[in-house]
Amino acid sequence: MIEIKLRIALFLMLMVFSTQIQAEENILCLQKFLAKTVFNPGPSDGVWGKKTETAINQLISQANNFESPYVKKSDAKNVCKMLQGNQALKLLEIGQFKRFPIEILADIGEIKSVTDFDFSKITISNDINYNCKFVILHSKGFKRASGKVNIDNGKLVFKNHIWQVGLASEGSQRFLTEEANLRVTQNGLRGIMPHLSYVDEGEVAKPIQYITLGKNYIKVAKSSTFEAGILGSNNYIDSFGNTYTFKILDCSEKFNRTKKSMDKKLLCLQNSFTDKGMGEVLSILGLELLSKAFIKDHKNLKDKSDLIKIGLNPNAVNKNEKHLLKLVNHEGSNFLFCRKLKG
Amino acid sequence: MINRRHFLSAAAPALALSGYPVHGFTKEPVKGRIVVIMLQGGMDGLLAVPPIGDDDLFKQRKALVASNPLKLNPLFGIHPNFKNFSKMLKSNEASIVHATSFPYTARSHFEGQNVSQTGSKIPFSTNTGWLGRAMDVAKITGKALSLDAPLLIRGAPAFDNFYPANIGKTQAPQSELLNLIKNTHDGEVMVAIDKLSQVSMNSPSRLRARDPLSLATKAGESMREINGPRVAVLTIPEFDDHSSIGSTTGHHPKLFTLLDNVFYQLRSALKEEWDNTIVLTTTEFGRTVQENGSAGTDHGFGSVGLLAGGLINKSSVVSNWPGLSSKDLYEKRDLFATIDYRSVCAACIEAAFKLDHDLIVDKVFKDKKITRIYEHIFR
Repeated sequence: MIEIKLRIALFLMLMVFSTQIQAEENILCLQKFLAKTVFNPGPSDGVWGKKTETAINQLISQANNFESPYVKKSDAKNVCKMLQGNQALKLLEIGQFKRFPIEILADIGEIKSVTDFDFSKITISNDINYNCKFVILHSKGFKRASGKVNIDNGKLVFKNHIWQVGLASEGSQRFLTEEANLRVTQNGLRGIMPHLSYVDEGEVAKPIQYITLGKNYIKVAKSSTFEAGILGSNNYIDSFGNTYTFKILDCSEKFNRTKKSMDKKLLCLQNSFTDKGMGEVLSILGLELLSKAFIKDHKNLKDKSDLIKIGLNPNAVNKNEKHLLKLVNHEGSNFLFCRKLKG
Repeated sequence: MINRRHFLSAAAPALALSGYPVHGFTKEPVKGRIVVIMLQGGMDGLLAVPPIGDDDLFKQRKALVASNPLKLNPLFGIHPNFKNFSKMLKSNEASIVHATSFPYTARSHFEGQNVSQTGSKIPFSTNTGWLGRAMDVAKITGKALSLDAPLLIRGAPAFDNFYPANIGKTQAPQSELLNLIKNTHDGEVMVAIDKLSQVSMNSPSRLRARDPLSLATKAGESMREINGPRVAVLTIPEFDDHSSIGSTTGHHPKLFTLLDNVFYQLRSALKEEWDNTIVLTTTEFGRTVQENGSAGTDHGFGSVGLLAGGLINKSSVVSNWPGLSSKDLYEKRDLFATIDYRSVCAACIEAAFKLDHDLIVDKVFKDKKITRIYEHIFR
């Protein structure tokens, strides 16, 4: 009886012992594998210490793009099996370099776009529409940039434009096109303009600069004509002491059929008729009718009969047919429109 | 007499595009795109991506750490001027490799730039660039559209005319620079530099200042096209800040902003092709850990590589961080490079051109010791 008890006890002891050996072997298997990687498990002693736990977790986490469950001592058997299986080579490769996950918690902060530029305190009226050209000249005479710019319902829109960089570049080099993005709002003109400074022969190229134009560079009084308001230039000096001139030139007003713009045309029309002595034949009412038809659809005003249809006095139309048709077929700016009437 | 300033004037922002699919020659154009941004002069990796979790950083360099780096994880931060790049890190479109370099430790710009482009351990031992050879292996042919094809994209001799070094009347001093140094590299370096100076100063096209942001936009727009170039090489010079390198603000931080915007411009211009693109920086060497007497840093060894593009799946900082205590430094002065940057280049080639790693190390780098790091960057 005693013998049986002893046998059972011995058997149980062996069971526990062999399980322990098994466990140690599993840990040793992990440690030996980790020793071939950059993850240091400490000495290969078969003991599950903090170093071993950290190292195996780093490897497994990295192998799973940082999305894996935490490996505990009790997982050693399964992990060891994995390290000996067909994933062994891949895991060994992964274990050659450490990856540190990105955990950005702080606010990255506002990114100032390269096309975002503060022209605050510049006033420009927002009821004008012009097609213009612009040029930026270096004080030594070299053209820094040129192109087309439209002033479009309160926005300054840069169309095709070319930035020359360096001295040798040609105007046609599309390499050098840079999208500047300027806009005019009620609070002022905003946008950013990149530029390079002038580089003398033998000088080291300087990094790109972002310019702030002087606050009075375009000043438009509310009632000004576009010549006074838009055409202008402004000098600015970059941080390397180079002086540049920014100019907007050759503006032509777009043909605009808003109420405001039409009132302007109407005024020119009235003045013109008064000048030419036609005021008598075309009444104020007639002018208003003409204006309204213009706004609605001036393209339908093709001949004499169309003008009579909208309610103009047939006698007046007959008498001034040539002038009136010239007028209704006009496609240019208000400025040209008014000048044409005068001519 | 030529001074360093004149010599460096030969370097200017530049762009080269290559690997246009040729009709009738290229069966199925490679989908991936590679943009290499060469940071000339040696970027200070510790200023760009400071290991803020390593106490030795603050012991070794007191002044040259930005006051407000963005914390990426317990060990690494990034200079606050890398805002766009940080956003890309956050959205798993970018990664960083730290304590890395091409295998070159002799701290010469000319040799270092050559090694970073040839991918060969010995400076001036080959006439072709690693990217050019990779294009050969991937059968990406087509002429380079470039004022001066950098060494990096020049292919094997048999294909050399696919990547012409010179296009009539447009040669820039750089190629002359490298050739001259190569041909006269038998001790008479000063003579060579003197000749070089004459060439660069008398060349009808001499120095062109170009705007890296415009070039990045141009590169992205061209590469977006179906038959556009698969490869672009952008050069940003001026990283050689021996004095007044800056910390939170200053010259290096200014260049960081520029580089950050170059990444942004590439991403914006590439649009949907960003998904098939990998952008990587290269630099000839890092800079000394400690600052010198002029508030700058001198030529060193280990630096950092910045990578971005849709081919990246999960952002991370890949680094076998060697530490910054004096005993951990290379020759007691430089950050040790524990990752051969050619591994990173090989991984980018593997990701973009779908070439096998073994083939790349065999045919492109001709050095089978280069370890595969693809899993760490692109998986």
